[in-house]
Amino acid sequence: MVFEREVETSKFEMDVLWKKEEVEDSAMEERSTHGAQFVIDDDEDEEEDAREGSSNPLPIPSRKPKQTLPSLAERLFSCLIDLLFCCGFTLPTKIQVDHYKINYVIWWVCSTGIMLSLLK
Amino acid sequence: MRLHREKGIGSTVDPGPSQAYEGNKTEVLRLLLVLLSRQIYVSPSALFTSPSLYSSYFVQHTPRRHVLTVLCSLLNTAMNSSLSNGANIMGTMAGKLPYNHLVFKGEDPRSTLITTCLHVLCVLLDFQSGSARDVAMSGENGPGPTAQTNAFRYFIAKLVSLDLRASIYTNNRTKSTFRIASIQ
Repeated sequence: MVFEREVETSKFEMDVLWKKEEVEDSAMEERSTHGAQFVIDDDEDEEEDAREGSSNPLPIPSRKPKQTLPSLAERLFSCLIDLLFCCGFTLPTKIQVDHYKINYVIWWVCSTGIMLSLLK
Repeated sequence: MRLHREKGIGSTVDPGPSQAYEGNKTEVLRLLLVLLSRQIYVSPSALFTSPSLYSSYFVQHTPRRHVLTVLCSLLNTAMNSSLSNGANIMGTMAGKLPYNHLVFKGEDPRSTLITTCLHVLCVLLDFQSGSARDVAMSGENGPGPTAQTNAFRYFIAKLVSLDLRASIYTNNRTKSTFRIASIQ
């Protein structure tokens, strides 16, 4: 079997790991529920509808840019960073504060070790 | 930005849990290393046109706080460890032989963690593909990194440019200062 070397990021990687899903805006959801009424245009009521003005069954598209959820690869990196600073897994449990397991403290080496911290 | 050194937390550390934590750190860092090694499977010429998305994302879009914490953690672990057990071969001639990691098995977790930290540091600090390339800096001799090109290169450049004066706080809170050699 010959394994072909991939030159660039494969379609599989882009679709699974780097694809960002769009998120429906909550305001847009409310408009869509009110606007998307199933209207039956009856022939007898056509003139009446025309006088009242036809209701638009489709929601007015929002002009705001759609928000996207982070891709799987981005979430994976975020999880890995959290795991590097997880009390009980990579950090001692004694430094845990309440129920917050993720504690971004710089690793120290030993009891008299030195902890470097960069502060602005 | 200022630097300061503090005493490590905890006066005694059980060898058991500490080894477990070191093992877990090594495994998480190994997975990170795998994600940052996509370019091994790509031909060198293709890397000019399509650099690794994984490395680009990690060095350019990781939050600043996380960049600093990860960078300092890796540096602390790799540079401040004192290996006093007899099984340490890093300083010997045997440790300098290629493929020695295949010959000497069963290293202690601390040595493995230090090695992995150094691997991750090399990969992060060396990455300059595509938009991560150093840019021309005004008033500087050559190009340099920015927080937008490679945040890890940028912050370690800041560390190197600073003169470090360390303070060690002992139990009775007396302070002694010493000068630390800059990071090469």
